[in-house]
Amino acid sequence: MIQEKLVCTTCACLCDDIEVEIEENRISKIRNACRKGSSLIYASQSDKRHASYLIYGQKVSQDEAVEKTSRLLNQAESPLLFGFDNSTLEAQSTAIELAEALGATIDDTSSFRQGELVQTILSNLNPTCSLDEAKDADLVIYWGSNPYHSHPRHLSHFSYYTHPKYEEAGWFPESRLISIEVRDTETTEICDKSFRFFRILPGEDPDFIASVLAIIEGKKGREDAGEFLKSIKSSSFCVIYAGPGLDYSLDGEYQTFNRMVNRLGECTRIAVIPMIDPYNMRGFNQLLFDKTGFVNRVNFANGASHGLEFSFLEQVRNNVPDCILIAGSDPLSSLPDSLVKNLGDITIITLDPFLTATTRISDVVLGIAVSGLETGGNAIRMDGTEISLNRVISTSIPGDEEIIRRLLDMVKR
Amino acid sequence: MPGRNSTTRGRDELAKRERPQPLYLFQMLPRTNCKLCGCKTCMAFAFSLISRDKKPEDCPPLLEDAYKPTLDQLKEIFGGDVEVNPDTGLLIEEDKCVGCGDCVVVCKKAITTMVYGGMVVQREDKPMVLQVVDGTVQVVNWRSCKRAEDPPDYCRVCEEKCRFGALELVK
Amino acid sequence: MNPLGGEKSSPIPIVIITYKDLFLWAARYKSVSDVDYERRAAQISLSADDLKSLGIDDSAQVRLANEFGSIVVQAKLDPRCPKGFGFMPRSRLTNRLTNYDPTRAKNPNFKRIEVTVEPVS
Repeated sequence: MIQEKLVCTTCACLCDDIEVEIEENRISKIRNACRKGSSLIYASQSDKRHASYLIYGQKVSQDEAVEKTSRLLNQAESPLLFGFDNSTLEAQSTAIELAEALGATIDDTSSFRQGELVQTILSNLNPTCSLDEAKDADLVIYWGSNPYHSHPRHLSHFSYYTHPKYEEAGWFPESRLISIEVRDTETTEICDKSFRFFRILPGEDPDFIASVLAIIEGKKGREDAGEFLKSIKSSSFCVIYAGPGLDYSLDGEYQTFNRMVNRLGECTRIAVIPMIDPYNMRGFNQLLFDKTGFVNRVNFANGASHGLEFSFLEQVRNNVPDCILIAGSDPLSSLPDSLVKNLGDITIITLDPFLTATTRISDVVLGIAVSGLETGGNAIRMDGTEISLNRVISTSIPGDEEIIRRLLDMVKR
Repeated sequence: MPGRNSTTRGRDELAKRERPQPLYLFQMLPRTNCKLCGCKTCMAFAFSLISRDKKPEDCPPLLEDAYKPTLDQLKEIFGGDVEVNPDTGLLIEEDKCVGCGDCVVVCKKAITTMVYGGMVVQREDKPMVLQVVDGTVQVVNWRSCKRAEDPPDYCRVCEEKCRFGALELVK
Repeated sequence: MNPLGGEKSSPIPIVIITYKDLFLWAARYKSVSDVDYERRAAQISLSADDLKSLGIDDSAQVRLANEFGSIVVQAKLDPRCPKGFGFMPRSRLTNRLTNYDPTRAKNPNFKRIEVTVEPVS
């Protein structure tokens, strides 16, 4: 039995204190990972795990699948590369090169989930900090996020419970916890006990933000917004963990939110950290931003253009692409049926370690290794910190980087 | 102490986390003090249900047709094969645990600190009592638990901090 | 059964807000067609007022429908749910009712699904 340290790649917390026991190249015990992380790690060694190469549902060799994929991509007039949020930085970088070589459109799930917020952070429009710095925050705010279901160890490993000082013997950290949420959750329950839960109506976030701004400017505003402002003013370091609830309510329009955060920054130290779900969405955003100035929705047909029309949603709605390469994403299970029904008319190539609804409708399936478990590499945590992933299980299955590299070489030829 | 405001319990799942109270259980029982279960009184039986020393079907009158709805209700509360850690009296319902680790860190703080003269004082380091193993919490070093001290300190911080009702101290 | 008079209640409009559920997520990774997944996905929290308007009790089956599809789920009473809204875990089931309409929003309407709800007799 071997003991190894592991970085969990289930979500963008990238918990780096996971210990595993390995017997005969199989994980037999996982310590410290949450239910979500353990489920994914064990699922990766399940018999149901899909790790083969298929063309129109028939098993083929790796070479045949890769050659077919490169042919389909080369023939395509309007190829789209989508996903890569569950890939390493190295695979993402190669995928961006592939998109350039093909003159393709490239997009990821951030185009319908928090991409705009990451764009504001990378453009320095919003102050941010690392999760390590955030441990000192004396006011922690979860806005439109219930970490107990999305990032279970967030409070115990990174935020509220990691505050260096506790009052009473181990009962309450000397930090206050606020939740802004539309319904009762496990997080709001703990906020109620430790400080405040601001319950707002669905879609009311813009109104709440406008009210906070109005009160800052000496005008009248909602009573709850006034109390929220008072709490922030009385803190010395406040971190806002912005979740998908806020993103959907603002529909990605963060201008007023940015203005509010920056005005609040005049009276206290404030930082915004996005509660990103896929483990390396921020990595993809960072790489594409460094290259093009945009975190997603980029087309390389004539240099690099950016626009809403290059989002996966718009591309699929308007039946623009004739071939889509999807990596580590399952749009068929996660997007509206009324939209993804259009995928039936498009050639789909999927790179995924698992059998999913999307792999089932794919023309070509390339089974890949699970990154951070069966392949190493690097990834960027939700706060922008780069983390190295360990490989603990040996496998003959190639990782997505290797497959995409092969495709890139073939496309270049 | 930070200000705290209270809320009415909302969804079903939240309400389920309320602990069964002895008086509430007593009122559900036949209240005849027949002693057929081996307890001296029905109130003692209610306490034994909470500590999981007795099961609802250990009360013979509850097996009668007239008490079937009560028996079903009690089975719902105390049903399922759950094991109480004999040393700590901690009952862990794995199905409810998400492995968030809140209990692990607050317990670690609790066993390594104490309140002395109104001040939180650091104590010697100890191996942690709880750890998340395979996605759910487990007792790994019960000897570190404040309840294992002599005299025992009946700390409930792990139970108090669990937002999923997965931990219950029944003793 | 309708306690208000015995006649079948007419469908009422509500807006569904979906949320992430960890247990549902974990069930998905256990198996693609897990009964546990279906059970956890097929439920909606509604306000007491809306349950009353529908003439149903907690745990009754309701049909949620809009122009994109229709599903049958179990209604659960949430005393703090605002009237006219319903909370559902996001799943393959809710995908049948969601839509992406760029004239209304840049994102799919995961947090704003307009449906009608009616009891299933």
